Amino acid sequence: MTARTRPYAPDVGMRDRVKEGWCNGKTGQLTEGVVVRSTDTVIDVGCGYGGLIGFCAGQGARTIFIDVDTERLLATENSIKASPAHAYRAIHSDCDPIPLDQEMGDIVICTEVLEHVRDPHRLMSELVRITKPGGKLVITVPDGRAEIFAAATAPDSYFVEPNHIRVFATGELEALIVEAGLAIESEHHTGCFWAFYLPLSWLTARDDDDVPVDNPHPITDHWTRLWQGVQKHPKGEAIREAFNQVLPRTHCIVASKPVST
Amino acid sequence: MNNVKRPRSASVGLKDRTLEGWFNRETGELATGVPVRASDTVIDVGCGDGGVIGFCASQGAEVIFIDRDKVRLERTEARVAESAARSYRGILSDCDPIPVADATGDLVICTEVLEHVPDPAMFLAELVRITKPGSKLLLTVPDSRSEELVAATAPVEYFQEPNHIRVFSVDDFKSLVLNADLEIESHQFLGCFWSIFWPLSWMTCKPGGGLPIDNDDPIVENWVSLWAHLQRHPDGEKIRNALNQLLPKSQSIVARKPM
Repeated sequence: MTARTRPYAPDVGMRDRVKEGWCNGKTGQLTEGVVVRSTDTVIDVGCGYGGLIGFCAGQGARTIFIDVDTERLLATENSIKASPAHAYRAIHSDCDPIPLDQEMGDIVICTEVLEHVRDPHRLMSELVRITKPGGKLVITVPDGRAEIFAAATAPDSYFVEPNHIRVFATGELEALIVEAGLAIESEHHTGCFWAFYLPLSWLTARDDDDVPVDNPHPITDHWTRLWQGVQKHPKGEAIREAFNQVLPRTHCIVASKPVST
Repeated sequence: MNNVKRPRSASVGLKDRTLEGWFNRETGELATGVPVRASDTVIDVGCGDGGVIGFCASQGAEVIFIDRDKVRLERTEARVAESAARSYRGILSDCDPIPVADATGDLVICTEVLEHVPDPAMFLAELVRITKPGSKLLLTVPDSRSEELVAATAPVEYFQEPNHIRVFSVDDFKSLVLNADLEIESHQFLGCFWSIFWPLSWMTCKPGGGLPIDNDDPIVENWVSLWAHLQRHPDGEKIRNALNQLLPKSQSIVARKPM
């Protein structure tokens, strides 16, 4: 009886993300409906460790990425240095305001940021300001249902500054985007694997773990194995899509800035 | 290495039921707020295999149970015959109308039935008719959120006669009960273990094998083991309570017929 290797949740989550249409190297799409061209300027506001802007750099786009966290900003910069991006700029800023001229971005990305800021309307209008007319915005926040589930077991700090100080209920993100003068092009719900994983992981993690995305507890390992099985199953996609409708981790909206306002 | 016993979904699910306040032998409550006394006459309309009425029988009540499925009715009858019930009656009927006199029940139970009937309002009116004024009804239906999940993988017959021909949202169920002139005492959400179990089990079961409640596919086994583990965790109920709000298998309403 050889020891079974533990499943690695980030890999499982990433496989879903690809199936959900993100970072498609073949079509050049960052997400469904958002093609990144080498002539584009792409701006990522709150880039974190740079997974998304890294994909855009890989497509040869000019990239600008901003974060309030220097460690994450540096990590992103290091990975982009090694990419085919023909130009890049890393900016350390709290984005209030965003230190960029208006109408610079063909694509502006802001994922999992709006739930952290005190005035989401203000940040939204800043995002609109730096987007070219006709340009696209990719905006995500945690889904309100996943946040209810997270609240069951997450540490108190999860819902306190600098973490999530706002939960977007159904319809609130749409309203925020429309009120900022943008047109919604598409909307989807993704990441149900994480919507289950994280509450189970907080329940069973050691206190000193940051966000426990690789928790060796049997409960989380059962979930990750279960989901690996679903991913391999011929009908697994139907399960993922149905779970994404009822309990998604992330709510994503692709919007465009009208040409004349 | 096969000496580890595979946890059974039926017993894991039943354990949750008791944690959710059902079948409480200490307090004699069938569900929270629904005590069963030996002096009561309890009627179960659509008793199935008799798990629910069996509890009432064990409390010494007079029990009347009705089903249109003869095999299940007989199974329930066999179960109740050996119980502490002070008297019992098994009735084979499609319940249109219910062959019981007006104002008979001190407690009327109807679990996972209203989603099968062509006219739930009419059916509920029958349930109200056989309830004594001032007495309670315990009603459950599948929740629309779990039905949405099941639809991903269940066979088409699942949503056809004689199976589920109607899906109730939270508001649908509430309005149905209020429109029958009943007072709602509580509205509970339960059974989230099954909300995840069924879509996974339908996906992985052999076709044509009936309800796949005991499925040894690794995907399903991971879920059952996960949940069995969770039930042993000191804070496991935090997960169950949250998931019951987000993805309940069933909604249950305790209602009262006004005097």
